[in-house]
Amino acid sequence: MSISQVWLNLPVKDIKRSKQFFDQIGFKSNPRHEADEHLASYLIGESNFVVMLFPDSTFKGFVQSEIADTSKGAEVLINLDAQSKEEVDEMAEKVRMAGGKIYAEPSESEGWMYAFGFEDPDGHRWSMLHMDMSKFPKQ
Amino acid sequence: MKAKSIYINLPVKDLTRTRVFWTKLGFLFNEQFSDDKALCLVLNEGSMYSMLITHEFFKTFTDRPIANGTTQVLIAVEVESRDKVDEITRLALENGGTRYKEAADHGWMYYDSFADPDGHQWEILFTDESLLPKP
Repeated sequence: MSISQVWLNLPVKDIKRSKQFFDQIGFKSNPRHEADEHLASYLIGESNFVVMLFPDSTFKGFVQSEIADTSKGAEVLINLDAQSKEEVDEMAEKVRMAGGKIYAEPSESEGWMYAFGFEDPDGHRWSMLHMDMSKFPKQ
Repeated sequence: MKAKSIYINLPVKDLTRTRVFWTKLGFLFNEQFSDDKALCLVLNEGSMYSMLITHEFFKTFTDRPIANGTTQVLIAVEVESRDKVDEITRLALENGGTRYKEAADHGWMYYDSFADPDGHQWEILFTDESLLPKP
């Protein structure tokens, strides 16, 4: 099997609000969908992983299921891998400036990971993690 | 943002069941990042992974309970042919996945879907941009 692309689809309540937030924190808008008002699309990282944001009603049609209330439960946590500690700090600052909620301040764990976590306007939780593989515990 | 990889973290009940399911569908795991608490499913080597994490371990990452019976995310995976879409979906349904929707054919895009044994929803799709309607 050869996988050429992966899309992460998330439900949002207000496309405009989401666009504003993700633009502000520096996500790269997908040129193909830039003009769309009924969805938002971002390309993430060097491999152009696609994140698609759809209004709740559209998303519901896709999944034929009720949408999770993110304040009550979590099905997914999304993690982005950062190339440096500085990148983690920079993103945390952007999220702060954009009014995003930081649920875990940047901090080091187990001596080789440095991460922070934030919530987007719909309560989806993202984290950004830098792994220093030179300090990864040897088996 | 220079991020090289993205990890989609999903809670699963039984790692053995999860490993068998995805292996039967033809997917691989990154063993360096897999252990008795999580499996690292390779979606695209070097850039996209799904971490399938035991409920117990998942709970250490969030103070929210694990959602049950609702959907927060839909992961769509593009493969190389229509046949591959059908094959993966068939294998999923034969090995503990469930169908919640019929396959859809939009000419330039063909996809089918299934829920994995933990209820996480996946779409497998094939696109042929040469068939995309011209504006």
